[in-house]
Amino acid sequence: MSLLRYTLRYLSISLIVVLTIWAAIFYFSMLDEVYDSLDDGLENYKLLIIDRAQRDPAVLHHTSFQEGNYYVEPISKESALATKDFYRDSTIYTINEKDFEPVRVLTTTFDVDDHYYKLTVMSSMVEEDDLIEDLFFAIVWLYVLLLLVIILTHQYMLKIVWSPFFKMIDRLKAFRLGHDDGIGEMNVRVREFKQLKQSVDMLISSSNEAYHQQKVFIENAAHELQTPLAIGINKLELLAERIEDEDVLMTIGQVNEELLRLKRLNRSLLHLSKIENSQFDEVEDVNINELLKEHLDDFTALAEFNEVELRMIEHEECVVRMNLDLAKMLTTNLLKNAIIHNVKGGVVEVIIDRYSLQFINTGVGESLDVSRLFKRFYKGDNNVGNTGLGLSIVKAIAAYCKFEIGYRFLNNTHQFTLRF
Amino acid sequence: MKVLIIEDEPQLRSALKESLLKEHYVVEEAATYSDASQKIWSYEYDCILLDVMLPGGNGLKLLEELKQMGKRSSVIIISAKDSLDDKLTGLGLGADDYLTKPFHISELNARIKTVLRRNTYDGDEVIHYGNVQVNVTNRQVQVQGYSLDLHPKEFDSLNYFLLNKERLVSKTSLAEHVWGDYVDQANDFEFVYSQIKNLRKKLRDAKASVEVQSVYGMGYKLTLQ
Repeated sequence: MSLLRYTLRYLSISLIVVLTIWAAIFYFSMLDEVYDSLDDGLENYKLLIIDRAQRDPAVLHHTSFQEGNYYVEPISKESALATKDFYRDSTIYTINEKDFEPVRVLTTTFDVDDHYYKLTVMSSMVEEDDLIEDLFFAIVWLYVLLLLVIILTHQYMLKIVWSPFFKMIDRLKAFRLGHDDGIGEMNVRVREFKQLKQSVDMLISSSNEAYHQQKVFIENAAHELQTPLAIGINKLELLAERIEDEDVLMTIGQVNEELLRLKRLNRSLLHLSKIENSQFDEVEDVNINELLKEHLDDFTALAEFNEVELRMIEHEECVVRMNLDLAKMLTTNLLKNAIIHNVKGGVVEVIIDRYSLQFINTGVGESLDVSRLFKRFYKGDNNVGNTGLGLSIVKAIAAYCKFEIGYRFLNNTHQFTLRF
Repeated sequence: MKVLIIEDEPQLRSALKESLLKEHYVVEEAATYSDASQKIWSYEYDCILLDVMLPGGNGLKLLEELKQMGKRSSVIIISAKDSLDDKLTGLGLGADDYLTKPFHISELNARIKTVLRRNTYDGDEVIHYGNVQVNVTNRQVQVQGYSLDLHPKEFDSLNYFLLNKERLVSKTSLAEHVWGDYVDQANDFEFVYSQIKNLRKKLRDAKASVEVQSVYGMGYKLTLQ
């Protein structure tokens, strides 16, 4: 929901409530005022008629409304004295409207020479439903007009007042950790936005610092591990030459395997941090077809051992301008992956097109977790000795060279596609 | 053959020394830059193993000193840094090879022998072991005068064994050497077994007097029957 719609939602709801309450109060106070004035008029009229009746007996014979707005009827003294002035609402049939219209009626008593009379005076009244209707439409118009004005002012305000905010959003969207120093300078006058900008700048600089420190740490740690690893591996190999006992040899072999796994892990981490630090900047034209033919040759033994058939389908020649070491790392990782995560009697197909390279392999019959597939230390199956870094390296190389790497599970095969 | 180990880490130095002594080299050690500099000015070495990061200076500077002296020692750089720059600088300054730590003993053996041979023979070179003759240049193998038909990877394996004859060769080291650097990402080197089985069968069928022995849990050893 946009800022504009969000504010409007609250404004429109509160406006409806306020305007409705206001309309109700306004309606009743109007009505009260109307009654007040009508009753005053009737009172005045009553006094005039009584006054006239004292002098003009004809008034006393006015016994029905007819053309006048009053009528007089004689009553007994007792009932006259018991009656007080009484106002009420009534209706009367009007000829012009051909309908019953509301009227205000005053009933009172008076005496002329000890004869008592009852006087009924009427006055045509405002039609309540018309008033309500008029009021309703007036309020609807007011509401629409207010909303319109608010929308327009708001849109204008959003453009003017919030412009630094939107600019900041755009720059934050384009921001990449480890690549950009910050979101740049901005001319901000509003205090809150100034604070936001300062907070964003601080957050970015501390994140960048942490990111760089982490990168340096990984690289240093990996380097520092090389020498102790070398000592461990070499001493163990020398020890194995002195040992005859098969049980001891077996144990040495197992320890050696673990050290070598550590070595592979370490080397992969170094590769990753080197790729991320852009230390592979020498590029050349790499013939992907030739490269893969070499790899297929190297991997034949591994594939045969795993009982996996390797097929290469060359649709076209593919030449990519990139670093050769990275090209080798990229393709061997994907090929090795396709061979190892396979089933006995399975197939690996390598399909080369002008601008794409595809690895299709049989394997476990379900899709891999795409969201975690390229993350470090992701292991789809419990493959002992696997570093879980192969696909992160692939991803890092693809990102570095601006290639597209995609995975999909189709027809019971795992398909990795590289687009150059 | 006289070899100088220039390495500041005492444990690694002693491991290298132990291995080189098994190959019957005369081994000397230097732990610092000045120590190393003094030794290469005073003595002649056939091969120098050179660490880049040394107390007292950069090992690559020693290469320049060697050049100034006009000495023809073979130099193998052993570095913890897998840095292309260092590698190119080192090789440009006259080093013969560059090995990144950690490495296998057998890989180092193979590299030392290869550079020593290259600098000693210049040309066709045939290795004799038992009744097996291996021509490294044209990649021909003969057993008792009859040529043996080997798959390229089998030849590489045999050659690697010969460079480490009567020494333990771990299957990882073999896989890395023969199937390339990138195979080290593979999580399983069991496939090496089936390859070696083929090589063994071919040697046996040709009645070779050498044998690829299995070293339980570790790898192989090439020995005379």
